[in-house]
Amino acid sequence: MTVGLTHFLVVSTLLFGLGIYAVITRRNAVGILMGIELILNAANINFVAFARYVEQGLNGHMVAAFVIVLAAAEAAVGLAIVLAMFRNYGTVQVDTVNSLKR
Amino acid sequence: MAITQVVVYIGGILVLVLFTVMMTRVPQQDQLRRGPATQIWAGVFALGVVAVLYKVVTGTQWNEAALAEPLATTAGIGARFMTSYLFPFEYASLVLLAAMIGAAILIRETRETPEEPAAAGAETAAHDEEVQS
Repeated sequence: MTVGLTHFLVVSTLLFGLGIYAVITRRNAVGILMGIELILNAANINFVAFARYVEQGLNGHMVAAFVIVLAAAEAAVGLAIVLAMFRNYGTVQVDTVNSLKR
Repeated sequence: MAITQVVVYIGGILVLVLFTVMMTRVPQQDQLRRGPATQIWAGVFALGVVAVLYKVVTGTQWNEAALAEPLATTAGIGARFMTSYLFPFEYASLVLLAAMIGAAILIRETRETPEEPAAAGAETAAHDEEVQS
């Protein structure tokens, strides 16, 4: 059995679902950021798979490279926010930081 | 592309995550996940999304081209970065610079107001005792 486009798409679908589950269920802010990374990587798998099987060019690779760059920037800023949150609140649980509600 | 992925994730993001995990001590009594109701709800939602996407993925007739030999992509990617993707490339570098500066400012100790760091330090110290006890 040869690996086709559909297999890649199914894998990225599963990765996307796992990312959504992690984002929803985690109370730890670091866990939520890791879930977002999973979702971005699912999109990346799709880009590269389509570039390989449908477009047969390099445009998908380019977009995937930019997505990796943006994911790195997002992780840096997000984890900095988590650190600032821990310094100010002493916790990384996202639902205990609710100062704007009060 | 796979090598880029591995390098970026091991070199950058995993180190960041590890540092954050080390610097933010999770107290023992904190729940890592939400309650069972939310977990079930989230599982149903995620499974629904996966089911819909699976249906779409397997049900669509993709416009697949005849499979060519896998060609070396590195040279082409490098050439495109400098020609047709020059503006996004420069823009991404700007975004990375902004993210770097923003992260540095966010995690910097605030020195303007001496009360707040002291209070935060006391809170952290109390937190430490709480963890140790």
